[in-house]
Amino acid sequence: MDAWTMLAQGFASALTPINLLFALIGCIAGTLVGVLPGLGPTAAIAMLLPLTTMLPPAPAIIMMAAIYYGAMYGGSTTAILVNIPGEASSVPTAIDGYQLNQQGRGGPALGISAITSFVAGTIGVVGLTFFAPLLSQVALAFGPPEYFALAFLGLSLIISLSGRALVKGILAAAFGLLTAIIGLDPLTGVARLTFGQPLLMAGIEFVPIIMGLFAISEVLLNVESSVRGILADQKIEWLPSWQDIKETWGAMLRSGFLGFFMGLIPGCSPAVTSFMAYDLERRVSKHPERFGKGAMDAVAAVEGANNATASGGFVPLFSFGIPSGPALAVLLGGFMMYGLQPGPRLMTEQPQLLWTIIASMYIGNVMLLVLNLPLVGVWARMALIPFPILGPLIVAFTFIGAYSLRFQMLDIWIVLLFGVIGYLMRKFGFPVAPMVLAAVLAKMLETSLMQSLVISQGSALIFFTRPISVVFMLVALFFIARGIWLQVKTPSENVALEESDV
Amino acid sequence: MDYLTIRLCDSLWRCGLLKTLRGGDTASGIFLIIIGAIALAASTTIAEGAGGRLHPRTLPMAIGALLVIGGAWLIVYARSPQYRDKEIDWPDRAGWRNWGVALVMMVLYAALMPVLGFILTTFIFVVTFIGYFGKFKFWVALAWGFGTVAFIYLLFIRLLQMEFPAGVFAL
Repeated sequence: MDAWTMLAQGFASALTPINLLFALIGCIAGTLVGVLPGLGPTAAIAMLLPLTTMLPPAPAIIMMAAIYYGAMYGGSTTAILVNIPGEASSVPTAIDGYQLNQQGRGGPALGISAITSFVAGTIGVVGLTFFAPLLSQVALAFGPPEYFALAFLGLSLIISLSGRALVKGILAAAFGLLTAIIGLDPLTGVARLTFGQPLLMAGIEFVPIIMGLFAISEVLLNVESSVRGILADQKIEWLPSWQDIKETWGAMLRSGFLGFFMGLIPGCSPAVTSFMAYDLERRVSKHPERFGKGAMDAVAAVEGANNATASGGFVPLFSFGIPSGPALAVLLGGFMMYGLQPGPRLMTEQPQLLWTIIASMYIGNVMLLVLNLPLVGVWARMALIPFPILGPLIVAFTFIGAYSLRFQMLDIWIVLLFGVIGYLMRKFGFPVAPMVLAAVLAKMLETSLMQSLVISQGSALIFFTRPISVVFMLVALFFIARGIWLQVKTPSENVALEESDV
Repeated sequence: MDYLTIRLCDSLWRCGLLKTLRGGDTASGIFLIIIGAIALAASTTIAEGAGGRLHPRTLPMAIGALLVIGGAWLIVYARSPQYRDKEIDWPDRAGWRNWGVALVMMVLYAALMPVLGFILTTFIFVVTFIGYFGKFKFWVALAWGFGTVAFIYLLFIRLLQMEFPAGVFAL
């Protein structure tokens, strides 16, 4: 049977009342999980996994999948409203989304975020439906050298994210890398930079760092100037206009495709894709000078990439049983709990279940749009709360988000420390985004570098002898060379691409 | 601590060290050199692991060196004639006081959490913060404090079954 027929049968099954109900529950739970900083889909699926044992496989897996992609919808909310990126993938959203909120455009930013999540999520599911067998080979083509080259390509974005403060951007990134390598060596297990402290053996999580850099430093900046409210302008817009949608549809589509293809690569986190989509959009945008100061297409690009990556991650999961990240690994556990093993056999032995899940993802995306759009106005009204009330709530929820990662007080102290560091970085003109990007990429970069060198017996030429890695390396080197050339050759203050420091 | 922070920041600003970006870059350079030097020194004690082609100290050492060199470059560049200086947008005296009070409140919030428990410290923090910065009537701060801890308790502790420091309530 062809994909259309299978999909039609999948829809017939997904539209049954029980499957619809659990898709809805998953979407609501996912949105809630996404909104709450620090509480990711991995924890939510893991918490709900034992409760699903009383259900048949289809509604249980439909619900867990809906939590996963639903969390991507809600992830932007706190980033836009109060500058708390609950996860690394929301950092670029916070950079421009919070600026839009301060300009009274938080509602339109949230609305565009929901619409772009729907568009990109649907692109991802269409890709999953029709091209999964073809594209699944991508997942197998990635070994350690390719991962290193990808991480190196990600790091090369530091050049453009640094704006005109290139040296400061590189130093911020180096500082981010240094914090990320504290702990055990990923290959040999040797303790590094732990100073004999057992607490540091497990390393420093990047989420508390991000929360400190953004949320706490924002609170400090607001109290020093006795800000009464976060709105700089009293003119408030609640929903996106047609003009907003017209201006961002290109970003939605581009980021949707980019996110989907990046999602095919196991281990490529939505954070990497978000930064890549942000950088790509800034390069192709007609008004790159707005980036970092409140660009709607930046929000669209990041959120689109985020959601499409989540959908793309289902391709290697369904095709080979390879989870792209921790949340999909827990979902894989959900499959196994029912005696199902995702992979080629699942496609032949349980096609009905597989297509029901895929069809439910189309329905789930519509549900999420319908759920999220009316909520936009409600969320946006948070900007009206006076800052002296909003401030302590931001701090309390940031602490909850950081603490809930590992249930250690250390993470709360890290939030505070990086809050002060973030405050000083802003005052001294150090861009924050390169530091976050480096901290996020550090593990992938280091692990894949070490594994690659073991494979090649110590030769770095391995990165230039494999087709995928050589392309990534050359693109990265081109970005680096171009960025440096722009810095050196263009003394003008109006270098559009490089102007905004984020 | 609050008083000392304000005095330190005020005196640094008054003597002009951190008044402009030049001073800021110099201070940042010194900070990065110190961090880099600590990383370099600590890297020398990292033992060799089995099975790797790259010594576990390679990356910390390289990053430490980069921070030292970069920090030195920041200082040298900040002192060069082509450096375009500008004033840093520091707060005024009242602003520093607010900044210090907010930071001390947050530090106390974190420090007292294991002792008094998450719920009680959150209540005290929210009420104190709103009371100090908000200039609202006391009952408004109190209502927000109660509302916040009720929401946190119901959602995170009861519904999501998350465990936070219980402090004295653990007894």
